[in-house]
Amino acid sequence: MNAFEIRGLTVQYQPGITPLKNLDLDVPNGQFLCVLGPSGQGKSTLLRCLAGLLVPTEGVIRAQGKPVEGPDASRGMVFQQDAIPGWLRVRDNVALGSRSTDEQVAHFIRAVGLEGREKDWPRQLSGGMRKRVAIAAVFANDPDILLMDEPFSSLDHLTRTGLHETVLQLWEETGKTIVFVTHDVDEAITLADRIVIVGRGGVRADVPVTFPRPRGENLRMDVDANLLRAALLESLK
Amino acid sequence: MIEDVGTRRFGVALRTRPRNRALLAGVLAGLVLWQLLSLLVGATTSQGQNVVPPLQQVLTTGITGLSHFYKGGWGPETTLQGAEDSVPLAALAVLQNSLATLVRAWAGYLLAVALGLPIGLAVAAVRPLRQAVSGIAGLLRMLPVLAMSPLFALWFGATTTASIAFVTFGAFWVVLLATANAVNSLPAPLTEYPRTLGLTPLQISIRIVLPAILPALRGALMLAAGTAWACVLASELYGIQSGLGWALNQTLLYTLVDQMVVVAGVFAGLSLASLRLVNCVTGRLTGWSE
Ligand SMILES: Nc1ncnc2c1ncn2[C@@H]1O[C@H](COP(=O)(O)OP(=O)(O)OP(=O)(O)O)[C@@H](O)[C@H]1O
Ligand SMILES: [Mg+2]
Repeated sequence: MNAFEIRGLTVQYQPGITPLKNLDLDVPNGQFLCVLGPSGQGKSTLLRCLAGLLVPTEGVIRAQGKPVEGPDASRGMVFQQDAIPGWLRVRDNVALGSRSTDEQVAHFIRAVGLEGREKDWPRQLSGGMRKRVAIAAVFANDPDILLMDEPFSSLDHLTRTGLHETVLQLWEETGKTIVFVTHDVDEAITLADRIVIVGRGGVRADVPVTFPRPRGENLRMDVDANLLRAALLESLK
Repeated sequence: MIEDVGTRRFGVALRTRPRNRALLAGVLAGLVLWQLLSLLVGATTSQGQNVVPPLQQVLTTGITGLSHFYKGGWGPETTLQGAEDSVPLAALAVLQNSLATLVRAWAGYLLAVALGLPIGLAVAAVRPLRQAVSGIAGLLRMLPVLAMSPLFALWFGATTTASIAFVTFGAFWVVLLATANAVNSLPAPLTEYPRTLGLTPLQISIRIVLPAILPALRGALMLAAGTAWACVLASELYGIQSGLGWALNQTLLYTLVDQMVVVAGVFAGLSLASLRLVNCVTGRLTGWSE
């Protein structure tokens, strides 16, 4: 079964603003899909539809075979902006989800490297650590699918690299489907099984990424990776 | 958390102490000014009292004279039953009427908060409600709320209920509007995020929205407390036979300026203390944001 089956997805915010037009896409279970696209091409719109936060103008989205009718705990989301409540200490934040168990909470706090910071307020953490809280919270809630909308775009390179490692580790450990939106080609090549470029309302390119993992910095020297990077940059124009 | 200790200590040094000191300095300056005025202004009332009685008068007859506001029931005889004016009796009088006023102000205020918060949350969520409320609020803003106090005395009689109802009415709007506004200016992801974690709308209202708006609401809760104290005073001016407002009105009626000063001082002290309590409690609740 597919994590997502998207058929004829159209979103019109108002006449003339139609970021998605008749988009079709299947996402198999367990895939790490990166959605790449220039700014304003409907990446966030697509993700919000997948989460059930936005009702499409037309089209159907099925998640695990069932039509998406609203947000629920089976599809977790990590937002671009800081969305974790500042009045909940780290542990309470990670335990916020309706499905989270004490065991899962403790496990994922450890997995994202926040052990010992359970009692801290979010304001006492760095931006990167707050992202770790958000990631632990989503995983601890045990969703089938994770949606991430440019979660690391506000972070510096090193922090980001650390978070990439964490996310990949958790993905490999849990086998969950991840749909990850980014406008950063390198980030997509580092993370993805598959890269989809969204533009002019639909899927412009659909590329499998098969470089062996862990990828890391050695991908910068790889000829194939550089060719892919060039090709992706070209189609983003 | 070395940093935190630093900021906290600094915070204390910066806020509390100068505020207390400034308050003290203000009170002292006021007293000196009053004494000077009493020397300069020679005018007297029809009862022959100086319109600006000197401090020694305020602190003697101004206090003992309050004895007749003690209405009995707490042991000692009242002045009506033949008791002489005395400091203990005056203390009882102040206590009795302060208690009446405190109960009215706080009951009304807490009721206003208890109603204003949930209704504000509901109003923010439902667009037609929001429009209706902002319409009513616009109208109310044009009316002087304090002037509506006699209406409440008319509806509820000269009772504590009338007083509490009026205080609630006055403070309710402040809380309601501030709540609805604060909810509307929350960033969208803050409520979308818990929805994707499977929280129900009720859980989101209580666990997310309410604490999220509290920092923005703090000022409004203070304002509402101030409004509550203004309202309680206004409510005690009509019909009701107890409370600091009533006592103040009586001293005004008989132009007993020295007593008036003392009652006004007690009222100011209580309202100030109440505002500080609200400030302190809301400060505790929003400690995470500092
Ligand atoms: N709530 C909205 N109302 C009206 N128009 C909107 C709304 N949200 C997005 N849009 C418009 O829809 C288009 C797509 O927006 P979207 O946020 O999905 O793009 P994006 O690919 O995520 O861009 P970015 O990379 O900058 O985040 C943009 O033109 C945007 O202005
Ligand atoms: Mg976006």
